[in-house]
Amino acid sequence: MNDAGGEMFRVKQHAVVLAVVAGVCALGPWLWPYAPDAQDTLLGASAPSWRHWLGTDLLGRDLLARLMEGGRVSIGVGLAATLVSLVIGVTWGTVAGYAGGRVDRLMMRIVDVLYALPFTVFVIVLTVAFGRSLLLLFVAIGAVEWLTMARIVRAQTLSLKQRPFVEAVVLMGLPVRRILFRHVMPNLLGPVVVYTTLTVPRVMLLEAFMSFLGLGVQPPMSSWGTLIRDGVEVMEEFPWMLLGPAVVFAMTLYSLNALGDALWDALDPASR
Amino acid sequence: MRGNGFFRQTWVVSLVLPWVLLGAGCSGPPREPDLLRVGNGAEPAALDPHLVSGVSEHRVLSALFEGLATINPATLEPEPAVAARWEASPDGLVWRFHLDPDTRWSDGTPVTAGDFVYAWRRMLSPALGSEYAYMLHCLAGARAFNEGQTTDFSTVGARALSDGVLEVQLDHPTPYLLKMQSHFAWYPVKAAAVEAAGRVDDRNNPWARPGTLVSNGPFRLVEWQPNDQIRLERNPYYRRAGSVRLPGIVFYPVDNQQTEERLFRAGLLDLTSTVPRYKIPVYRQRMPERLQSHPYLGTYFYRFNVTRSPLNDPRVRRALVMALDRKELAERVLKGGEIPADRLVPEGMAGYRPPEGIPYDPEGARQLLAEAGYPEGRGMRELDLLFNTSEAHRLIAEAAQRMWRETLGIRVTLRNQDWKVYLASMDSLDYDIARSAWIADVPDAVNFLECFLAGGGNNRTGWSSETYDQLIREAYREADQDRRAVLLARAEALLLDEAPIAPVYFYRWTFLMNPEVRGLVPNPLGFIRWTDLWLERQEGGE
Amino acid sequence: MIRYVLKRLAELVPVLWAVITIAFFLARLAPGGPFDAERKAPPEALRQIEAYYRLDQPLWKQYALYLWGVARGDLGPSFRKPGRSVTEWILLRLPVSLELGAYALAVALALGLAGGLAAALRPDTPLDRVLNAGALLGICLPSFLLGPLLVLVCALWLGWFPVAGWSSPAHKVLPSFTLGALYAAYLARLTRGSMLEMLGQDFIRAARARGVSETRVVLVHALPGAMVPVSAFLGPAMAGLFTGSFVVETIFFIPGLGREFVEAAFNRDYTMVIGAVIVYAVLVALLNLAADLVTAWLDPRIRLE
Repeated sequence: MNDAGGEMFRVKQHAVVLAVVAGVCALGPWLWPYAPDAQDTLLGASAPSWRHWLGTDLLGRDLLARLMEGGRVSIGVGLAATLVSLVIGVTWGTVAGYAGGRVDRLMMRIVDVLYALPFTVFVIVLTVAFGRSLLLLFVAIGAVEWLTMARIVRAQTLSLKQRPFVEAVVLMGLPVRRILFRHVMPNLLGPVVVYTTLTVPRVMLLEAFMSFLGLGVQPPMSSWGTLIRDGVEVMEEFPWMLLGPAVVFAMTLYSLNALGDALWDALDPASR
Repeated sequence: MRGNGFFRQTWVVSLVLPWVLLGAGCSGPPREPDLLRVGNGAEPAALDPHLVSGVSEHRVLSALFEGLATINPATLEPEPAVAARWEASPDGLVWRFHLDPDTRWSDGTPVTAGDFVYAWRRMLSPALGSEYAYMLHCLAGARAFNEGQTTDFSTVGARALSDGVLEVQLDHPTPYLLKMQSHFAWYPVKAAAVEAAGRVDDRNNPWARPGTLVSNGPFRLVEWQPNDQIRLERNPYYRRAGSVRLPGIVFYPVDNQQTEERLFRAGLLDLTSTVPRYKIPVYRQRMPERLQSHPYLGTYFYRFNVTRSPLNDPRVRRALVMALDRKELAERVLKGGEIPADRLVPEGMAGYRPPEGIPYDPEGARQLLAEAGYPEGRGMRELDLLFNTSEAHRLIAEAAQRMWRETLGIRVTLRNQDWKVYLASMDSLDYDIARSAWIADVPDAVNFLECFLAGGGNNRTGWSSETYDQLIREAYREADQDRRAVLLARAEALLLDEAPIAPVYFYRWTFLMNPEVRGLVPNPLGFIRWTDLWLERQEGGE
Repeated sequence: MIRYVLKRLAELVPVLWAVITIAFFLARLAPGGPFDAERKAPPEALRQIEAYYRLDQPLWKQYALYLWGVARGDLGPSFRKPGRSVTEWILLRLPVSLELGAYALAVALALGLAGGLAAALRPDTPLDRVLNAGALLGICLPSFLLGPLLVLVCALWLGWFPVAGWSSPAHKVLPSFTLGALYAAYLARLTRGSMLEMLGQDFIRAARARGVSETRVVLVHALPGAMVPVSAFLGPAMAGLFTGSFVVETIFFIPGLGREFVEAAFNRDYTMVIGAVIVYAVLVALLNLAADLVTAWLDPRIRLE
């Protein structure tokens, strides 16, 4: 439990798994002969075989190719949306925590109001109002996730504010922006990194949820969310359509969460 | 602020209702062997026959109400219902209906001709904004009244000569007038019931509920728990109550196809509204006696926006149609027994001889496209294919996209929107190609063809043709059936030639039915005459 | 304490106002209106409908009239489902969602707390690893995957539970479990972490040194403090439970508010959408308030200001 070397091993372990999954998905088009949208309606849905390792879907498309494409989309959305929420959340939280007083209260009040909007309405109406595009998806999901990030960062900033080195820098009279960007934010790195690794899987889950509602990724593109949804519908007749995407999806989320855990343990001073 | 009573009623009802429901919702075992349990798809928006438009509402309303005539499911011919007999003038424009003196409302009072006049007046009043009001436009003066050009209903061709005799005057010969009477647009409503609950033309009049809904059909409304169930029991005042063999019906609004199928398999439903597509081969193999699949009067087609280049060139449109292998779509993509369509009006229209359809002809398609100036698709911009969110639409669209690419070299992007946005896009002609469908309201070819009259609300393609409109209008006035059929066939031929639409397939009515349900006669209208049905439950049954 | 509660409730008003305003204008932004239909009504009829529902008035005026209505407790008529007002629909559907949420919460608390505690009391043992893995799995399986799988296995193959519906207690097991599983997983991890942190504190060691029994140490000394972050998490957790039930309601055919709301959004039933948003906002605020009160009760160091 206090073995720092053990923590780093776990971190590396999960990081490797993730790298492999992401790598295979990214390199898919070069590694695998089938295109994700190549239909073969004569074949239709077929079980895994030597020709199609994960089987085919209702239109005869190779599932492994679709899985890899889905991975590119899901992981891409996960990273991009997390980035959006990171940028907004960290900035917001740092400013609020550092400024304190009325500015802080106002900023956090806004966070509370947005928190009160149920996620579903916000995202549904946004997507429905502005049309569907991948970019909008990133923004919509990221715009919801930043709230918790802001809260955490604000709490951290508040506690950081009391620390001697910050007080020293303030006394030295450095401009606020410099203090924030050069001195406060780098010290937030620990919790932010951990929370980011934990946000990515949440974002991916949200994307899958939206695909279930039909608001996520649009055909002919696929994401793991749409593949799972399609697989769920036919799971009794064609279980392989569900198993592949479900297992890979769960495995990736699992590794991301475990990685976040391991990073937390590794970086958390209390357990050193 | 509108001074109608529903705000006040809201308070009263909202104080009382929760207590009632709390009690009702906690009880009720799901198994009730005497009642027919029907999966009904979407939850009915309302049970007011003048405010609804869907199949799920029609199912319930056709059990609650009865019109002047009904349809025999086996022959699709009209049969007397509330009207015991009728006669028509030689020119077919004036009809007299003699009502069955035994017809009663579910509160025991007799149904009169005046009830029909009242109902039709309500249906046509513009304030109500009824989607199906156009069905009554065959009545003289009805269109003018419905469009607000006059507020004097005596100009409309519906009069009660006495309590038992109804006279109807038509604007033009309407051969399917009697068949239309089984549609909810024509049902009678009881004035006293409607006006006891609110204003006659107030859309939010809450009369259509258990306790206040008065109906004249074989069943009456006992309970309606929204999104949970609608419960009907035999109406003791029905004019032929003795011949109704079902003691009651329960409708379950299960809108998820998979859930509905599972409920059926678990023995909790006797009849479903549909079958998930990929389950059809499974049932065919393992439980064929439970699967019902019949031709249905509906066509699935793609619309072309003819106001946009290159779709303004009919050769391009015809090429797109000819490049679509509809047989492959129906047999390999859909696999539900659908029939590939090469024309608009489906099979099974009595008395109609359809014209030649557009065949699948990839070579011909390529030639036509080259003629139009886009050899092998070169020079043509990317087209977008719009459809509303649904698994089946997506599968077909993806296959069509591939076919157009492979045969014609045309690139098509898929655009998927949810229902409302999709409708808005079609209305504003903001699309290139859009998926669409039309289900017959009445078993007559004109119901399909009149969609494409110039400027009609259901046209949505920007296409119009003077000749076409003329043919249809002539057909409206033609009393001779054969000549009428010829006119309509010519119109359809013209439509197919200019190809503002690409027919894809003809629908099928596919559903699951417990073999214990007897008496259901399948028909291309998808019409279930509830009075025909009965149950023969097995002991220890499923 | 009372003053704090009143203050929080008073703060609810401007929040609600902001929520209503945002929802109102966002909903209107969406293309397509409530009366766009496959078979179009004639223009005169459409005009009259729009006048009836005040859709022909300038947007700011509709907004003002709507706000005035809400202040008097009237949420307006449902556009797509004539004959009932929004308030009626909400009163019909809300109790079901509340019930589902309550059972899911019970599942989450029972499994989460028990699992987390068990893992914390036996750290680094196989039990701990199994429980941890189980919790991670719970986080990774979305409800629309878990639900159908449970239906497939427990309802169709094994026949232990009904396939769908919400009438008898047996019907309520699978949906509650599906909805609560995710939060059980979060709670388990959170409980384990905070319990471990608590148990590592000096005063615990002091108590053990004093000879206090292990049971007392755990239950009386460590547990209350460990529950502080847990109860702080309960606020957003409960909010998520009650507002995120749409998927479960669809799979199990439960007549709740979540399904009604999404349908209304798709159908552009504006009043229904905003009505549901208001309900959710109030619910979330009340739940958060309750969680904060519990947290304060558990941790006397937190002063309610």
